[in-house]
Amino acid sequence: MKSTSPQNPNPLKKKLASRFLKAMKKLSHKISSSPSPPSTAERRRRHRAVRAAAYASMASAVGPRRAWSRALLRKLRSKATATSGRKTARRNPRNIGTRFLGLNELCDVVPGGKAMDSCSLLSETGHYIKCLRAQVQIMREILDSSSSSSSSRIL
Amino acid sequence: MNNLNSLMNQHQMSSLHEIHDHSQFDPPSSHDEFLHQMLSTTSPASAFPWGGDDQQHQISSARAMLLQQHQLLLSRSLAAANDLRSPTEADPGFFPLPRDDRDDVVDGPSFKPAIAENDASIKALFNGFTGSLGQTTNQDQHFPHSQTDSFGVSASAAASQPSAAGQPRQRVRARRGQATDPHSIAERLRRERIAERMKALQELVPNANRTDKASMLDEIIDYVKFLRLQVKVLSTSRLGGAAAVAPLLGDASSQGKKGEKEGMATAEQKVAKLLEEDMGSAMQYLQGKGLCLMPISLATSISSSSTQTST
Repeated sequence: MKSTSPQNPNPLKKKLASRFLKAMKKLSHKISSSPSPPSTAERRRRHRAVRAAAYASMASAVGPRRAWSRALLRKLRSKATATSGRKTARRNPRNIGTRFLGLNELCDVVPGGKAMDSCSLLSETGHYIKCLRAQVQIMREILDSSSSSSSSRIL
Repeated sequence: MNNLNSLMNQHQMSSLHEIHDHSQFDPPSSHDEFLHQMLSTTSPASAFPWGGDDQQHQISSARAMLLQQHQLLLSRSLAAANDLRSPTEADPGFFPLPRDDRDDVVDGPSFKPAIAENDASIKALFNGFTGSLGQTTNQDQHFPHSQTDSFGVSASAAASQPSAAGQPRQRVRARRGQATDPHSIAERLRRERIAERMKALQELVPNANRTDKASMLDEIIDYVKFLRLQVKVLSTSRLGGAAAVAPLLGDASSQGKKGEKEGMATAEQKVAKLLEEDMGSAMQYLQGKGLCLMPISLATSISSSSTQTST
């Protein structure tokens, strides 16, 4: 599990942090170029961009090693190229027959879950949870530090 | 046939004992009452499709039915009396479980009924007791997996029974852990793997004191949804920090901004470095004193920049 002790920083977290911060930087360049205050729609777009950056950085940090990250990357790429009209065949309906009923809901939440069997779905969920936790921690800490630094800066 | 009956009667009481222990209903105090109870609810004279006194055939089906009966008893808290006698027999006989079933009996509470049946008569009796169980005739070893999702092993033991029954006195029966049917083995492996993963997930998810697999799954799903929601919320509230976080990871282009932003940029740079090294305690430190922990290589550059900005 991720440890927050100073002695052993989590390598996954480091990777996540670096990628996420890079993405945030790109975003903030865009933000600084536009005049403030942003409109509501603009603000909402930015929020969504931040969220997408979070998931994108998560997926790219994990790489193609995991099924969920592959699925996420595929989804992001397809969104980028605007091929959402493509019909991907409903895969492996037999998977639904062999899994417990609760797993049907789980495969909706975890990216790429529909095309996995129960066993791998559970392991993917575990890893996904780990990465989500790390991502949330990073975002929290960035938020805290930025707010605190702006408030408690000694000049 | 007589042999079979006497054999069964031998183990009758002892098997009953175990059934009593592991079934969840309050049986009558005496075995006789129990017997009577069961017998009264059975339809002993239902059609026996056995063509004649083909003892082997009877015995093989008997054994399969024995095991199935046993499982039914344990799970449904019902006792079904089965008549294995040929139509020529008159006295009702209780359908006992052979001694070998005791091993399974010990594991009983986790059993659920296997559905495999060889015999229409037994099926009729089953229907009488366990109406919810779907049963089909001559459903030999391949019962529907959806029903036996969590009890494939018991069914495999039942399935292996007909093959093992060669003589009436033989008590050789595949134990639960030694079922030789490849389907059952694969099923068991799959189930074990899933159980492993569930345990691992249990440690990840907080509030993992759920013993039930279904509620544990619900907990997991809720936790994943919660984390996703957190990401969403944090992305909503983060844009103030996003602008300040712009000069990160040693990007020098942002240093050309106004002094105020530069100071913020420095602080954010510190934060960025900290995020890669250590998070929680360093953050607190930063919050408290405006200082931070960072690698030595960065410390010099940042301290020089901080001395410029902090005066």
